[in-house]
Amino acid sequence: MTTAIGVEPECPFTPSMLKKVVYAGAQSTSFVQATKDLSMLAERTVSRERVQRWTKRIGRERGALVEVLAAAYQQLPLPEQRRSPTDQTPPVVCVQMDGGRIQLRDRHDEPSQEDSQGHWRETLVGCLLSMTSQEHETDPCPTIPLTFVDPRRMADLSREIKGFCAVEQQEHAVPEEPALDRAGRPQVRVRSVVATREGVETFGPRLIAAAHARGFNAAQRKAFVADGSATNWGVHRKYFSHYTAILDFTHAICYVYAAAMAGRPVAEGWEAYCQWAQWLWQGDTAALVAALEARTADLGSPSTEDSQTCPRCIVAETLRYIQNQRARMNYAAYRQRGLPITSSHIESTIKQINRRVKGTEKFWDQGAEPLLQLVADHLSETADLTRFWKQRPQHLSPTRCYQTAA
Amino acid sequence: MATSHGIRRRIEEFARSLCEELGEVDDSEGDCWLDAVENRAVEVGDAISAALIAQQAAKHRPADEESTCPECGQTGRYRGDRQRELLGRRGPVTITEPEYFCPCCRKAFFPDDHGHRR
Repeated sequence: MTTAIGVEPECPFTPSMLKKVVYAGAQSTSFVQATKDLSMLAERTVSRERVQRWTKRIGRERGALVEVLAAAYQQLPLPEQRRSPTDQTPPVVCVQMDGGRIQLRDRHDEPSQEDSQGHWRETLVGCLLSMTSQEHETDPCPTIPLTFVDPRRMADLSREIKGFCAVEQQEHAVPEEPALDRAGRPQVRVRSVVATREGVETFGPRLIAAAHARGFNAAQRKAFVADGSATNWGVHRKYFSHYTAILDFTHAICYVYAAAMAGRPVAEGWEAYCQWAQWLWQGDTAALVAALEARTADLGSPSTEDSQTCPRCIVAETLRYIQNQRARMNYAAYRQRGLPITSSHIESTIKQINRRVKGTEKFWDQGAEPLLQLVADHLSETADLTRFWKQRPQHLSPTRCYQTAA
Repeated sequence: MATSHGIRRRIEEFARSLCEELGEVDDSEGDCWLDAVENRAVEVGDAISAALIAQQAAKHRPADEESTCPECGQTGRYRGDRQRELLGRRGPVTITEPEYFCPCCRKAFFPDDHGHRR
């Protein structure tokens, strides 16, 4: 009967109600909120404990399945790994990854066991995007878009991403132009999401297995876009080395903005920034490095006594960043091939995940991993979760978990 | 679909007779008249849903006296039908299923009825 009923003997819900409970548990801002949402939207009373217990249970089951797929991928011979297991292969694909933050606390921990970062720990999130775009004979958008040469927007962007503030803000006349879509920008077709707090050794295999399952490895044009974190490029090197490596343009331009504005009057800094930004946009890292070296020579090399916010430290850090990442900054060529140049999709995905898991009042223990799995599943536009629910009844144990008296 | 033309007509007839039987709607049953009407309709719908599920679930062949334990493969004994209350989309539903007991594992189990319900 268990298969026909579709839920295990100890489950208090029908299969479709269980789906609703799990959806609410994964999508509401908290388990308490999930019970309120179920009451208001599904008109059913379910206790917080039940929502929590069943959400975590299903999340663990999903996580175990994802792990099985990751292990199966690792067993495939290399030619098979590069082939698409599906009939369809998307023309353009992009894998993006970044780190999120959640608070983890073992409930048995003493307060004194906190380390320097408190309870904050990193999660790893990846986005798999199938896309459409055209290839071009030349760069379809050779001039940097106005949004990156808007002083107010750049100040905000730089503050948000790098925490850098220009000394003084000054109004600049920004040409009035409607916000047009950048020419040649690839369009996303289907997104799927991978998320874990288990570390990069778990994350990498899961991400590449998910990419393989969607036929990404066989695509003609493949991009891996991320910011400059060593973790990201370690994953690229180990699992995605056949994907074109692209440094997120937005992070790069924030470094360039900070270096151009550091230690100069705003008008002078802005003039330098506009030139440097255009070089960056073109992928002309040689010109950019030369300009940064000249600026370093003007300011002098940073000493150990300098604070991190002093101009020569900012310029030196930017120079180092550009030199380290220059192989991934050929933006004109990437646009020509119809590849994405920003990691905006992973940034917004992390914000969506944070809505559920991150907060100064939210502390997780073993529940974080199953929940991250389910949040990622619900953000994914692929049929993985639908397939899981459809197949779940076939794999249920018909025995009760506990023993009964004879 | 379950609501074919013929069934829909019977539902309309049933609704008409139910309307006559229940009489005027009391506005105090909701925030306004329409809210009260909707509340009543949903309550009736939920009750029909629960009855339909219970009757559909009761259509099964008599249980065998013995069944194979899915864990150890030994023979388990029929212990009677277990009434199982589940929370469904439209409220509580009761399902009856045959319960067996494996003396080796000392566990109750609920074997599949080989697609009989499908």
